[in-house]
Amino acid sequence: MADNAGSVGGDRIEDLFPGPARPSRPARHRRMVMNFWTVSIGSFMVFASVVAMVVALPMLSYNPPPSQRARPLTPLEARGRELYAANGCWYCHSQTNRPQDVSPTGLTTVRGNIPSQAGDYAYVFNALLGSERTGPDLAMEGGVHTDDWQLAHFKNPRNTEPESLMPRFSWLSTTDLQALIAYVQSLGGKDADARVAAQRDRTAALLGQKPLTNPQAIAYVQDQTQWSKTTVNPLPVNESVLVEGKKIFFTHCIGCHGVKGDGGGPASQFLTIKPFNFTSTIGAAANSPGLRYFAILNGRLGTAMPAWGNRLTVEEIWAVEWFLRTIPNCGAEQVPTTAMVVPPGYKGPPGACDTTQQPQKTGG
Amino acid sequence: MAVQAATLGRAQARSGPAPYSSAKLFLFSSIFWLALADTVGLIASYQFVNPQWAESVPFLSFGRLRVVHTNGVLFMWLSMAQVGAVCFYMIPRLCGTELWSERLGVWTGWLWNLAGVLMVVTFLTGNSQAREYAEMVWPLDVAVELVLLLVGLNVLMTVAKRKERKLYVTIWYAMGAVIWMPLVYFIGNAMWETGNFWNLSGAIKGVDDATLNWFYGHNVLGLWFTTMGVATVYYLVPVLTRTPLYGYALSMIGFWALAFFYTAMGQHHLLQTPTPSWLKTIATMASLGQFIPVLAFLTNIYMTMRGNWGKIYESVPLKFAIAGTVFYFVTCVQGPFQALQTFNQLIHYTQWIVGHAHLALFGSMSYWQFAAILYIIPVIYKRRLYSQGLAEAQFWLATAGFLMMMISLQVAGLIQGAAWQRGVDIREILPQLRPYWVMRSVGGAMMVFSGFVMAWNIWKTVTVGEPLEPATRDLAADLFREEVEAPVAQPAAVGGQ
Repeated sequence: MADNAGSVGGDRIEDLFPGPARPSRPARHRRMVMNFWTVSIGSFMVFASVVAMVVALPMLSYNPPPSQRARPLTPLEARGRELYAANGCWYCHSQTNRPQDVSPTGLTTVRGNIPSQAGDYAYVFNALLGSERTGPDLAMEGGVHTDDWQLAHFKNPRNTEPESLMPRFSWLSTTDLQALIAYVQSLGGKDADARVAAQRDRTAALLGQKPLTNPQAIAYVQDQTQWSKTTVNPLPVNESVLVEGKKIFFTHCIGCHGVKGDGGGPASQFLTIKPFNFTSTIGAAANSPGLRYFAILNGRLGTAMPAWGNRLTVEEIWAVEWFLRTIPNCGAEQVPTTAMVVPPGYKGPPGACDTTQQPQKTGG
Repeated sequence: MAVQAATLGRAQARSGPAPYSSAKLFLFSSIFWLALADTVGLIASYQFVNPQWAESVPFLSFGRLRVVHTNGVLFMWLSMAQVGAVCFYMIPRLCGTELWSERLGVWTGWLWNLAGVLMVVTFLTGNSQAREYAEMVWPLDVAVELVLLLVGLNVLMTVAKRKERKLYVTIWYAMGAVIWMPLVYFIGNAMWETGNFWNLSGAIKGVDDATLNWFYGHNVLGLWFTTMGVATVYYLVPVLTRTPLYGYALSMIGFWALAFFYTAMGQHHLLQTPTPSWLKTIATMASLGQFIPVLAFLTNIYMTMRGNWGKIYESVPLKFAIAGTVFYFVTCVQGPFQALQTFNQLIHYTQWIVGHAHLALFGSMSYWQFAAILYIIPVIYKRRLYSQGLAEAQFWLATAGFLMMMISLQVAGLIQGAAWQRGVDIREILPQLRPYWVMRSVGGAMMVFSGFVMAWNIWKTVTVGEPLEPATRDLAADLFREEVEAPVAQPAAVGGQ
């Protein structure tokens, strides 16, 4: 051991494997020598044979047919995909919904939470599967949000997600933003198209332009009617529940609904259907707890209100529902207390912070 | 002797660039690109702490900065440092000859730098093929392919015309690298797909493209950076410790096992994607098989270090080289475990992977090139390193900063992975990661600063470093000669005596 530095002869096979006499050194070197051709041809041969196995073979043998939801992109969507690729969206947003990414709760009805299949990528060059997630996976993003939510989000992600890390893309031109939105709304193929169609149908119906015809949208409205019959919030109310609800409201909702809950958040300027104003006492009392729960859980189809069922627990949603009832009584601006809660069906005088119904001040 | 050297120098001044011109060009360029690409990485990392900073400036957008950082450190810093050190300095030394064509080497260097400038400009203006580590647009792919082939030609011709009969391990790895890398780059970039020369070209249709992408993405590491890095260590450790390499057989096992196992590993980046299962199995097995070349290499180096451990206190290059082998060991223990389905499910897509990437490319590969630069520049210029203290400062800044970054990222990754497995939405866990990202940026700033310290130290060495008379001898060739059986007729080192 210690004489290693001094013992410099030979290629040290004897040192490694001391034992019976081995062939003489010149003979051994003829066998083991690494010369120009051994190294160059040898390394190429090893490389080529492994490449044949792990690159050529799968490319020749694995050619999955298009899946049921796959479809080619329109030219506008393809332009959006180029922008998506060139601006590095795919570094933070993968496009592979893994089996374990599917919501274990199965709570939402709006989002198609199905693992990605090989055939989903049949029509695209470069699958953009992604390698890292700082934001959500977008494999099934199409139709999860409305176009106007996407616009508000691209203009400034903090508009819709107060704690978002995403850079804003307000510097893209209007046409580029349209292309980008069209691409994002196409993610998920025909499943996404169905979701987008339901969203647009309900938007038109809410604006009074046409009656509801989309079966998915009709089913949504039926569900909502059913849920609106629930008139009791099952969570016992106390101040910690209200503070929890307030915390969630301020980290998730103020982008659209505003810090006062008046629907005047920064995103609202981009939205066709304005966010709900919670500051009215009458408004706070008009919607049943069940309707509020349903709207938070599944989102408001056709509006920018997204489904929170995959992000908040059942208790958290009910806590938010309790908190919303304190807003007309200054719950958003002070520490909410149980005394501030406006009961369902309340028809009394306006609350302390209720700006919508207070009589106009006169004089100066 | 001095007169002879002067005559030789004049003779070469007439016929072409002086010996080691290309090595100097590549090493100096790499130091510049390290400073640039690392600074860009720091700016990008700060956006995790404060996303609103400069976000309405398109070219400061994270998606554009990240690609400049990754490609900048991979192709401009690390590749140039490795080519400069291994191909244009060590190979001529070990071959007992000059580089086949210094003129070609210098031209290659300028072409490489030009490609780098165009790369940065195209990325910052929003042009990318959107394939990880293969983002350069098709015309730049051609330029990269060209410079790789030119480097390969120079290396192979130098080896073919060598005066030393036998090939030292470093030469095997360099030959392997210059043969593999142009092929890996061509195949992985799907360069035959030229339908659209610009964005989103160079990709095949369907999910198979991911297989191609990660065959490339892993082998640019395994068959280029690792190969060149290992070649660097195989040269530096025996030279800096004045000790012959421990084992010839171990070197052979390491080399051929690396070629065999590394090439098959790419699919372990896609373990949870809808791609062929048999390919994933091969990748996982090859990732475990990677222990063979790694342990062969590390055993070889650590056995060479027997009795020499104290020398790391005297020599910063040796310190960098050995610290690099320690980080390499950690990388190569993490790697195979990350390639197992169960662990992969926990850490895939998380910040853990970012930490792992920095462990491999900064902790080991970059450390080895720091060692090479701090050793080679003084030898070429025959000047003592300007400041041992600055070199020590560089080492400790880099090490402390890097550990801070890697540990914070990997802890953040475990938090993310555990939260996702509980069904927590990705957006809900992000606010909790902010402290770790602050730590990452602080560590990153130290790493960037260490690069500037090296740049300053090298600049001062070249300009005002104390001249060495007689010049530091490069003992590699001597040691190498002691190892082989045949007596060598020609002195190996050029300009070093």
